[in-house]
Amino acid sequence: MQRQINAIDFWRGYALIAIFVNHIPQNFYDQLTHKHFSLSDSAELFVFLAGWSLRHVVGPPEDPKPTSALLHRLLGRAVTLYVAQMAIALLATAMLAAAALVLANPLFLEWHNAAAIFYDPVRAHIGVVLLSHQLGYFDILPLYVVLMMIAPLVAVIHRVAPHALLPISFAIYLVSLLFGITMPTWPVNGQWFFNPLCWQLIFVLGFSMSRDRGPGGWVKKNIGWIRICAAPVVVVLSIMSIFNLWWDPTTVPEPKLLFIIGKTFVTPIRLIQFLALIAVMSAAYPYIVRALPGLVSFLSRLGRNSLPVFCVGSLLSLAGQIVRFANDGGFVIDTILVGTGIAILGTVAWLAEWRMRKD
Amino acid sequence: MRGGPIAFGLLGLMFAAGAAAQTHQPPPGSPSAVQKQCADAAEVGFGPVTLPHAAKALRDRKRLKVLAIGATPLNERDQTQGHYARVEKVLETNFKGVDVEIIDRGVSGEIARDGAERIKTEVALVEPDLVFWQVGVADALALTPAGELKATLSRTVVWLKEHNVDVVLIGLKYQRSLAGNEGFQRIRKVIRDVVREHEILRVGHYESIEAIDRLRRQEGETASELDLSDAGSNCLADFLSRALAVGLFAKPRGDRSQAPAPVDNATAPGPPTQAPVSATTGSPSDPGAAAPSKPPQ
Repeated sequence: MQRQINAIDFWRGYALIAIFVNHIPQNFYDQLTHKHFSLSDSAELFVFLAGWSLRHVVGPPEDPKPTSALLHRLLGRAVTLYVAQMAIALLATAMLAAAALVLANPLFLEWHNAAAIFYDPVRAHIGVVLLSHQLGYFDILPLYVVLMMIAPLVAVIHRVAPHALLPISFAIYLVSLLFGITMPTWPVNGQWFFNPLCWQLIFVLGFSMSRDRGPGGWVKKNIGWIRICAAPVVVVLSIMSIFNLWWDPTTVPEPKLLFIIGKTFVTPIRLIQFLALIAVMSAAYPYIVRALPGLVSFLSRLGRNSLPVFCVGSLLSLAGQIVRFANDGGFVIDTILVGTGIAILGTVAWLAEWRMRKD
Repeated sequence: MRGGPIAFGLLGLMFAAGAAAQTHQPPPGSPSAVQKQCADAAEVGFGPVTLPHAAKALRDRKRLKVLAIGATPLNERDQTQGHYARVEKVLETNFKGVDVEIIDRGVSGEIARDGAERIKTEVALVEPDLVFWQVGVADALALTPAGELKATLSRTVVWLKEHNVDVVLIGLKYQRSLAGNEGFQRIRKVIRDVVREHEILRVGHYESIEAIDRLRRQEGETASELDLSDAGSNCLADFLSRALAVGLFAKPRGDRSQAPAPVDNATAPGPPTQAPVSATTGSPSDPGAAAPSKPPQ
């Protein structure tokens, strides 16, 4: 049964659109997304809401789902995400190859980390399957796969020792920051752009905040005060972001990852800004529903069908980059690309629900 | 002179490699033929550009820490190692007893604006003596405005200098199909301008591949775009190693009387791999910088 329109699906729909737009760098509409006024961007929002959505699978505390059914469903979801990642990676690779041939431009073969796939295919294909080789802008879903693989553990810990979940997650995050632990890439020597050891905290925070008991219950009870405290944090950090008033990262004390700004490790300052931002922005939803019901309905539909929309959006972003280059960009091209892309995403979401209704 | 033995070692290796090149004619298509082609293609344009912080690290610590940012280059022919592993190997072979560590934090497809922000964080974490910044391709494909790119590069180069970190820019690759592309050439010019204004090293990747294309045509070969791309990638590690070798031992501006004699690439032997020199300052003496790229005939 289709979910009612709600804030979570709405914001998830917004995150999907923002990711699609942000992944066409230098396009006109990119500068209108919140990443240009904020330390955090849509990636945090997407992962947080993925954690929040876990509540639908785990079920309410008064009517918990059987553990075996829960594990089965979560692992099944992880497999679905993995297959989706393989499919879009393959399609993206083919798109880059086609662009190189059609536009007679071999640079496309080296773009977005594709060089290894074309020039070192034996090792790179193993890397793609192991998720240790990721195309640029196609690196969120591998994180999501890992998070969904640990989701059964999250659900079980929450069921057995609910108060231990956040401390365990935070401890893993802290250890990763203190010792700079991350996931290596292979065959290209590097590291995951989204370090799962750190990003898991956002996922777990999303799940914890969705609950009516524990930390989530406390936040819901005190959301008014939290928003009052969070608003100045958002304003000050936004001003610092816009005017680039950040401290010199080389001057911070050890361990540096605790004090610098970084996306890979989603460092504390970025995490704090993100939490403050969602506390403040969550207040806006009731007003948005009243003022723009059509928009809320549209974005909620995208949010309800996040996986197909995300996959198609990733491919459309890449297509957008190629088309933009081939046509020398510009406002008109950007408008056509972004407008068409959003329309296609809406169609994908509609088709997904139409198919579900038919089944 | 603490750098003396190292410099002598380098020169010795250069001469040894040169002598080997003169007595041995590699068969066409063999790796050494490829290396010879790289060497033949190299264009020279050393200005009084030095890598003072990298040189100091070598002198004082016998250790050079390099941060690589930008798309990670890949060595197509030698798939067991990337370019940076090969650069490490070449440098460690040339500078006996020196430990070279290249930390690759490249994000392929990242435009300069995003890379510039990340460089600061990575410099804080890695504390390198030198940064290799491969820049331009993503910006050319994303159609970054030239003014924005120039401002980004200049700001970041100044920041790196202020933080006692040397930088080597690795510019665009030559693509025959893009030789007449205005946007592509604009990005190329921006990189050269920044190099010239800030007196930093640039690996003239574009000019070298263009020269390979020219040489192959002269020899009656018709290289495809992919062949050229492949040849350029194979030469890049050598270009980088040679650029570093020169940057490390060049004398600063105003001290040219004592600087090592400029190496004429057409006549001088290269490091053991017959590496060509394509490190340029973008100065008027740089043929690649001064002469506009000719579109294919």
